[in-house]
Amino acid sequence: MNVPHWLAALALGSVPCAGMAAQTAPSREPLQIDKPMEFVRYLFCDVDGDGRTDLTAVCAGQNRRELRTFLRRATEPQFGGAPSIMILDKDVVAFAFVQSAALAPRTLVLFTPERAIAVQATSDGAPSYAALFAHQLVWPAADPTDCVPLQSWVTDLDGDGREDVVVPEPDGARVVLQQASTGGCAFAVAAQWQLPPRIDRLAGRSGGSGRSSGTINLRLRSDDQVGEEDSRDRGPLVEVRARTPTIQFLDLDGDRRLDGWCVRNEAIWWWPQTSPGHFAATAVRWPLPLPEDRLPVFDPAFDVQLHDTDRDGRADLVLTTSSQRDGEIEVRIDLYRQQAEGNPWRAGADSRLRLQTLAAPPQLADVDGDGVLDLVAITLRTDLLGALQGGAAEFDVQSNVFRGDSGRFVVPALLTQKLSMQPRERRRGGGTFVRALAGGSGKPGSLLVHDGASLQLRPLVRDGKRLELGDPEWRVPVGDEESPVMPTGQAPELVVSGGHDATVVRWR
Amino acid sequence: MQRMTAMVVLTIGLSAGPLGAQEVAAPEHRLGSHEPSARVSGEMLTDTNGDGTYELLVLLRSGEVQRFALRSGGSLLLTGVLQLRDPSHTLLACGDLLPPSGVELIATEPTGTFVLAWPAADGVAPAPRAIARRARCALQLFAPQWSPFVQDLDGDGLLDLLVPSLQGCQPWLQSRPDGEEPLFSAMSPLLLPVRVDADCGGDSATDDHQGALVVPRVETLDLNGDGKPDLVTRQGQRHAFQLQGGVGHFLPAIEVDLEQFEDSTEKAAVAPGSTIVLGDKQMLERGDVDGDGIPDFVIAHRRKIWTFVSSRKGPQFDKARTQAVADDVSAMLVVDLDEDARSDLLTFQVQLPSIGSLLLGLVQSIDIDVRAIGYRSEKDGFAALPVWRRTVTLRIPSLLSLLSRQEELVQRFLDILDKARPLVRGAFTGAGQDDLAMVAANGASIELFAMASAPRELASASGRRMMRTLLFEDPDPVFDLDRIFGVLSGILDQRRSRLRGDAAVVGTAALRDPIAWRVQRLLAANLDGQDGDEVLVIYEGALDPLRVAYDVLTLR
Repeated sequence: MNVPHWLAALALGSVPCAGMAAQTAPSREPLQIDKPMEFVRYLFCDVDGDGRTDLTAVCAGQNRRELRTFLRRATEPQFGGAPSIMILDKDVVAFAFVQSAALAPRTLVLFTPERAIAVQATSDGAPSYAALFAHQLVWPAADPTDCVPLQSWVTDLDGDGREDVVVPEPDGARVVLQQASTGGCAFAVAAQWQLPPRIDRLAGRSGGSGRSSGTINLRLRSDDQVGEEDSRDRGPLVEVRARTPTIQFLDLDGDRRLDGWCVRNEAIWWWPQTSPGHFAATAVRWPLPLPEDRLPVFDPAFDVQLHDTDRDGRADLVLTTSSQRDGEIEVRIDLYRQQAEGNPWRAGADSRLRLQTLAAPPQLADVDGDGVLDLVAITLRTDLLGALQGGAAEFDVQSNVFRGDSGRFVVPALLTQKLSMQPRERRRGGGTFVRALAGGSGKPGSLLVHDGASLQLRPLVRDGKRLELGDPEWRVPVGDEESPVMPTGQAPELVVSGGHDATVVRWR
Repeated sequence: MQRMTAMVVLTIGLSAGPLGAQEVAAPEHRLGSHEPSARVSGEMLTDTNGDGTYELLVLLRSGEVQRFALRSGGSLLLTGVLQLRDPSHTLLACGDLLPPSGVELIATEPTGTFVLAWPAADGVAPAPRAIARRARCALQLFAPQWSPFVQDLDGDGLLDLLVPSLQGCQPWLQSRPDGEEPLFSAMSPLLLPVRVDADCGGDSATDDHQGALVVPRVETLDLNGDGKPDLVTRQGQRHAFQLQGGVGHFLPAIEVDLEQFEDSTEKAAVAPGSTIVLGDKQMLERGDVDGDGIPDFVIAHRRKIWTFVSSRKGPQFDKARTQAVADDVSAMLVVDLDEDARSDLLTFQVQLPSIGSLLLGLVQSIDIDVRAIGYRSEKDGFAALPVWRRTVTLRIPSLLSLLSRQEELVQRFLDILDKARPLVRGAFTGAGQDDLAMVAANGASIELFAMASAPRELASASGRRMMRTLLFEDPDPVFDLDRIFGVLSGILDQRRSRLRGDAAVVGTAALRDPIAWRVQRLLAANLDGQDGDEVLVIYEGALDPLRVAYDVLTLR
């Protein structure tokens, strides 16, 4: 078995850092798969209902795709058991695990373009398949090298203890609620959420639309055809395109029922759950309070998040936009607290932060341990980019933490700290990142940093009224062939993926 | 933070350019109009009853097919309605397959391929007539669409069926054993580079999930100089060529797997640590290297070139002339650079900045060097030493400055796009003419250029000349944004001049207000039953692109 070089480095002892009182190295657990298969993506989910999150990996190679599920054990190595392997049919586009009751094992549901199918084990171990419901998945065909995890579209929407499924469809979604059943899963379609088609800000100016239009194809190409091209005669046999926004679930109106919401055409669209399992027939539209001086065509920082920042039970809007100011690009992060009645938010933002170019969307997490969401923004130090002139391989970002307080973000910042990044050209993608982690239990949190060459956990330490960024609790090198993958909400654990090898890194 | 690299392919979208809002009065040119209230999937002009007069077929996303005919008095009259059985899985085409005169509507769907008949006088449509029950299309389409799946693949004068699938297409060749009824026989499936996108985006609320499925058209080409179309297909790095044997009969494929052609030379970095060379995959291009009128094939990998000369027996990949070139090949073209009717070899090496330099590109401009080297063709290969050699530089402004100037840059780009105006050829001034109708610069009218035949200069020849000039002869090798805009504008100006030739505007016809409506495209056909063609103008709403309108205009 090839040992990743960073693992070997750990075995020799962690990199010592000055100023550290005690250093706790993360545990790491290698996983391997035989060539030509490779790990493609990962999902942490409690599959067997024992209260411990298991790991499912999508693997692909040589015209074959598999789901490999590693059940977590109570003892180390936690994923040491043999994985169960599900070979995916070529029609399977997506998958998810769905639970019928709390602490019950989850059922694997496979999605073809038009059907959801439950996979159940029989007494002889062979899987049996049961059709659950029909749909029109937004992806018309399966990617032969991947399988889309739909786990974020699975949640107990109606609060009956059974997980439901919202299926992404072109310009909308199908809400399918799980019903009580004596054996297996049973579902019923509860709603069809529909959105207007997406308006492309550039196409609106150029005259383009979703319909096919004449195209002048100016191609530099080898001599094999002569004559004027009429692109309509050279059109494809089939061309299908569809898209739908990411739909998330949140109690927007404080009635303690989950609602569905998304962003499209510069507005929030949401479907109130009016009673358990029943949703408004048409979406409620809340236009986003976009600043007039926002960049007109392409806004690289544009981001929309909903969080209950003031703990009044209603979701507030955190809106990030870019504008031009004094010849420079400026980013604004505006907070709008949702009002109890009338328009969802006031005419002006309740809180505005002006920042330099962002390296990533802002994050909201309680990092100072006061129980209130704070805002963490990672900005690019464009003034320091000139150091790259001489072929240097490092550049600086700045981590900024703004304390959350009664529905606003307080200036000056609790923390402004430079971090050095060393981006590498990676075969598998996976760029640098800084992830804010809440401390919990009234303690300050930490920053998980992937600087391109290593992964490190930097604790946040209180220093009077400010925060300091401590030296790394641990640091592990990351090879050029490896990419850390942070599954959503699964800290303190992530996977460092390397193709045929992967390593589960676990800390605290 | 990858940046755009050297542009080998430029594609420009067509725009009607809604500039200026001067209403041009002349409504008498409008013979009929129709504005569907339901969402439209596409339209077609065809002669369904063989009387020489064309009708408009409008396909709705709901699966309804509406037929309109132009009637005197200025109206498009609805003369027939069909409802597709399975709108989400149906491809439609028009073709003259059956003995009665007129073009039939042909549908392929999961239960087979059928001819759909229009309702009789009683309004009842006959049941669909199966013409190939095993020719089934089971693709998820979301809505019905027009497709060029009915075409004469083997050039025998009989229309065939090319039923698409996730692997490519299944051809069904037509024969008429008894002289009357068509019979469709399956040939081996053709592998095509089908594109499937299942992009799940990210978890952010501003991310979209996007899906796409594109099955490309089957490419045909005369590969052995016998005047018959042969098949060119590929999947991944595996290319296949099928010569046509007897009528309606294709020989087993000649296959080549590019993966077997490997240059073992280490992949070069021009300046280690600061640049990387783009591309390390084998590539295949074709062109007539020996000037015998039959396409030859050139394969390249890193610094090695394999030239396979074809003959009247077709392509062969057994005997190659192998050569080494000066630099790693990022891209190549086999194109006649010296206009001697033999294709030469043009190679490109793209030198990408390193990650650090790309990041620096946020705040200052970066240069991307493209080294272009041309080798003259000789005998069954290319000269050992290059004849043309130069490095051109793409100078990209800092990303932040591009963002701050986006409004101005977008407007400049749109102004250039306005030069690519919708056009159509037809017999507008009389039978036998090959006139040109083109939307005017202000988008408010159509201009008519009368001509007996289209100007003869070929687009590809002028394109080659321009490319040679830009790459090797222009004194300034640096292309910044202004120059790139200039080049694009010049290309479109040349195209317009080439289409018009020496013809002057001999007439105009008013279009709808360009503030409210944008011209999508123009079609031409005889719609009123008199000599000559009319123009069908297809509009989309400026404020609501899902709104569609049709106007039939006469240019006489």
